[in-house]
Order: sequence, then C-alpha cells, then structure tokens
Amino acid sequence: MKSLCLALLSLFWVAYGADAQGSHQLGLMPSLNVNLKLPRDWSLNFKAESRQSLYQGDFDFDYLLTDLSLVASTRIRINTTLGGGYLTRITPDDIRHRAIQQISFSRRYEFFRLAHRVSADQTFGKLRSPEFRFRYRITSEIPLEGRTLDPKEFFLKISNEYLNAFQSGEYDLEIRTAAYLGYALNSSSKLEMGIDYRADSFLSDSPRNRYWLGLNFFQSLGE
Amino acid sequence: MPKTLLFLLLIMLSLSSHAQFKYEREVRVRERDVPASAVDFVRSMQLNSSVRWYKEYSENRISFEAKTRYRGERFSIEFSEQGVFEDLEIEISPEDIPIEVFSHITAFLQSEFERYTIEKVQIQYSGDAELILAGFRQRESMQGVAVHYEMVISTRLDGSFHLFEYLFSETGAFVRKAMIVEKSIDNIIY
Repeated sequence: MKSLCLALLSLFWVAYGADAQGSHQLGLMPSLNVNLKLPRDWSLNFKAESRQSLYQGDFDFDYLLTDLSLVASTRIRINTTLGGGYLTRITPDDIRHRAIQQISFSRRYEFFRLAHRVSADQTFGKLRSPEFRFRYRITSEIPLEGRTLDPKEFFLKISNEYLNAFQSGEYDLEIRTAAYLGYALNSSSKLEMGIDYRADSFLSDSPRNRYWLGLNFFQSLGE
Repeated sequence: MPKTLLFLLLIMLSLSSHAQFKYEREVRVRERDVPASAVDFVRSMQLNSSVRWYKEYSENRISFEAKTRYRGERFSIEFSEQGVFEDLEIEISPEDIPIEVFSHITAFLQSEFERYTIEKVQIQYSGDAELILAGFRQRESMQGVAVHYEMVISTRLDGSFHLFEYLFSETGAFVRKAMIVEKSIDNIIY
C-alpha cells in the first residue's frame, strides 16, 4: 500500500508540476515477455516491446520503435536475482545496441509482493552519442481476490522508476509511474493492461510527458 | 513488426489455455459468507482489530481462515467448511521458542541442510476450542492443547534455492515437511 501511495503521489507531483508548455505524447506500448527457467536457478528472459504514437501535438498514428532484449539471470539468494543482457532498439532510421546489468530484490508481504530493481544500461548507435543510465524501480503486485495471486484472479501492478541519464556530458532525469490491471491466466501466464506515464527533460525548458497504453503478456516456461 | 508481435501474442494465449495445473487457491470473502460459529469464535476473542476472512480451496477440502493483527502479532485462525475450529496460529520470532525446543529443532535442521535460513515461524494451537479460547483470554500458557511450531526454511540444494515448510512438535520433534511451490514474479523483476 505504501508503494501504491508513493507511486500515485509521484504521478500527481510530476503531472501537476509539468510545464504547461511541455510536450505531451500518447501512444501504444505492447510487449511480450517470455522467461525460460534453466537448471541451478538460471533463467533467460526474452522481451519484445513495440511503441506506436497516437498523439503528439495532433492525432496521427506513427510507428516509433521495437525493442528486442535477452537477459540472463541467476538467483544469488532466495529473494535476490542478478542479471545481465543485451537489447536491440530498431527504429525507422537507426539500430541501437544496449548492454544491461541489473539486480532485483523481491519480498512477499502478507497481502502483496514488492520488488526493487537497480539497473544500469549503456546505449550505443551510429546516429546518437552513447547514453549511460542508472535506474531504480519499485514494483508492487497486489492480488485483488485473496492474500496470494492464484490462477484466474485479477491483480494490480503499480511501479515507480527513476532513471538518471548521461549523454554528451549532459544529465537528465526521467520519472516513470505505471499502473496496470492484470489477470493470471494460469500459474505461468499473466496479462496486464494499463498506463505507463513518463516525464523527462525537467531541467530543460521543454519537459516531455509521455503516456503509453501498455498491454503486456508474461509467459514462464520450464517450471 | 507490430503484426508479428500480435501473432506471437495470440500463439502464446492459445498455448497457455491448454496448460493443466493442480493448485490451491483462496479468495477473500465477506463475514456474512462465513459460518456463524466461526465468526462467533473470533468475536469472542475480543481482538478489537479488523479481521479479513478467506475461503481456501485445496485438493480435497474447503476451509475458512480469519487473519488479523493483535498487539503487533499476526494471527491466523482456521475453521472447517462447517465452521468448526481447527487451529490458531500466531507468528513469532525464533527467539520466542523455548531454548531447549529450539536446540532440538536446529539440531534436526543442521542434519538436513548444510546451510539454511529461517524465514518465518508460527506457533500453532489445535485441539479443544474452549481451552484455547480460555488460555488466550487469560494470557496464560495453554494447557491440554496440542502445540506445534511451523517454520518456513530457505536453503540451497543442488545449486537451486528452495523454500520448505516444516512442522515440529511442542518438544521440537520433526513431524512433517513440504516444499513450497514458488509463484512466478517475472512481471515485477523484469
């Protein structure tokens, strides 16, 4: 519950404080996430995510990009996972490459689950100078029909993320807040639908606000 | 690419609908949907705190469980489908277990595992409901009831971490153990 309040406060703080003259963009962001469990607590996570813009100043459909990522992780403690991987970002004009490193801590509380993810990524491409980011995300999964999430039950997923980005000697902060309504199809599949709000460029004269309508599918294999 | 993603999504949805799993599940229920005898028992404990009721479905039985907090401690009271009292569980710290009993338990666990961590401990009272209720109200050690210690242990076996639930008797003797099936958390760590 505290994470929910923090996420909502962040959303309202950022949205209310956003410069009225900042840009606003609305779009779609579907994703497919497949996690393959391997022996000895290793796993491979594959994710495909696409973004399409619906509104940016005026209503107009525009395909933006597709991200394909592969992350290998290992559990180093009962509640701690260490991972590293690679992402390819495909845009109409460019292909960018990203290296990812992350560590996640999860804990089950009486009525919900909480996960902290600390990560770093480095992005390289031909058309843009390298970008280095350090991120922290807190996510909670709140079952809506019992103490634990069982198959054929709904849940709420709330997350709040802070991204510190360095590019060409300049710093930017991006804040993300997302709220999803999810459904556990069975013990290994989940479907989520909701809104992912992102605000960045606070330190410049033109803050950017982006609202992504997300549709996420998660499939666990090998369990 | 968007069409490809949609195609993959549809394939995954069709595959997942054919998966078959045995599972236990619970749903939160309103007090009015719980047998009156169970509600009366919990009210007579005079906890003065909000109580959440759950209906639990397992392979071959249905039960009701009341969960609440009292004086900083987590309580769980289980009843049969007909509302007959089954057990009272209170979450405690390992330090709350009598020293001689805890020594007996740790000696057993050390014979089972090279390394382990105690994640959770509950003291469980079962037997005569009136005796348990009287003992609880008078804040006395409960005589004439069955006392057990339920522990959740995490350990690493063959390169993988696992969670086990152990049940020990009042004297620390091993009763039974079961592996806890962990649920997927991919959607909150990736």
